[in-house]
Amino acid sequence: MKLLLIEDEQSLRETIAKYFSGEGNICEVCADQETAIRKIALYNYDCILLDIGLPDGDGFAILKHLRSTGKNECVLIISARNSLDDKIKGLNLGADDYITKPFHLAELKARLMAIFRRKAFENNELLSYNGISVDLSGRTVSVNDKAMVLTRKEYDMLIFFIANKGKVISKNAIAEHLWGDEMDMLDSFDFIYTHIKNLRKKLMELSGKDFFATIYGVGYKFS
Amino acid sequence: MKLSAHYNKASIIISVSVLLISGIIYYLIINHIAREQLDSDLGEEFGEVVDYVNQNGRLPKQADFDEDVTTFTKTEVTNFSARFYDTPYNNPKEKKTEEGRAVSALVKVNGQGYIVTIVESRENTEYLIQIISAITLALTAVLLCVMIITNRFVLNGLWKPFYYILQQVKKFNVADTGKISTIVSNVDEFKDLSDAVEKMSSRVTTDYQGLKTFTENASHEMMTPLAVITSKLDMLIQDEKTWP
Repeated sequence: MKLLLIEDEQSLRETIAKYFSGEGNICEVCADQETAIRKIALYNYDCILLDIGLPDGDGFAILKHLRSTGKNECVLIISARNSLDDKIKGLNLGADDYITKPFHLAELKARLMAIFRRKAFENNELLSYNGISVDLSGRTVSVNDKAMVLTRKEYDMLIFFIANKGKVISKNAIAEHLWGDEMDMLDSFDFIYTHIKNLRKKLMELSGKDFFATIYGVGYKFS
Repeated sequence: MKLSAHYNKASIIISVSVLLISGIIYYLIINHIAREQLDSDLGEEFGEVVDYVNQNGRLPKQADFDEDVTTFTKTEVTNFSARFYDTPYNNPKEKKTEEGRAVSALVKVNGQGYIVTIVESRENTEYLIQIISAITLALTAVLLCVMIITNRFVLNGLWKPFYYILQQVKKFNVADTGKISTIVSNVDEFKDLSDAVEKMSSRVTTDYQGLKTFTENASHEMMTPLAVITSKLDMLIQDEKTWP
């Protein structure tokens, strides 16, 4: 997957680029509108991560330019503006998703993978990883051709982990992704442990492998 | 209640009362004038009677006074001042009783005193008063009709620009970029109102946009460092060296 990250804040740009690189992904970066438009004109990308607040203009201009030239890259808007107006404006202009700062990198990646899957496989796709195959349209999961029954949260969690395979995901990020923004205010994430335990048990029964690595005090790693 | 209805009510009440008062004044004045006229007529008649008595030394016959009823009564009174008063009048031709006006005075014929009473019909003046009342009533009715129709059609048309402006003000949303459009009207008040509303709305919209830009910038300045921190943390936990 080839990505273009348009973000003016240098350290954020570097961190995101680093997180997304690897596993056959290429992440190109640029810091302003002018370079972004030049890059979009010269190369083709699968997905574009677009920051709205750029030093030399509005990120919406890039989006407009992109859609007016008939390119249909997936666009995920990263913005510090949490107002409904801007969200609606961005989505109406042809963005696929809208995420507000601050966010967890795992969340960003899961969303990006989701819109990429939708675009690239036109919603008819089997997501497979190490013998786990997920039918995204039918919301069914099978491991080594054996059907696995999952609750809704477990299913969402599995998709989230597959999208962020090989990365350490904090409990905080999991809670926010599955239960919404308010959950990170809780002082205990024991309920996540329960869900992970169940998911881990079901996967072990069917595949015999343990996909989860617990990193004590930090989070989980799916590999 | 609409302004036009209030206006309507006030103008109808005022015009009806003015018409009624003027009708009453008319009646009183005409009555007074007619009475004066009758009294002077009676005075003349009496003068004629006196002249007749002075010339002929006898009382005139009833036939000498057209329709007026004249009676002569013998009296011993020597001191009698002339007086005018209202009395019923027996019309000898139509055989009916009408309102009348009479004069009584003392006349001396050959040393014998007579009280002369001349009664004259008031029917003509009554008739005049009736006609005047009818005209006043008809005028009142016509005026009322005209006012109601005028108010219904003309005033409603006049107020149209106002309702248009009101509609726009009601629909006004500060987040919308759509402006309030000005109206074309030849009424100065509505033009002023429309201009004022338009200016106010554009000022409010500009101010709102300014505030919004400010909060967006503030949010950006606060959220971006937070995003940097969280993403750095997320990167940091990928590193095995940081694990316990």
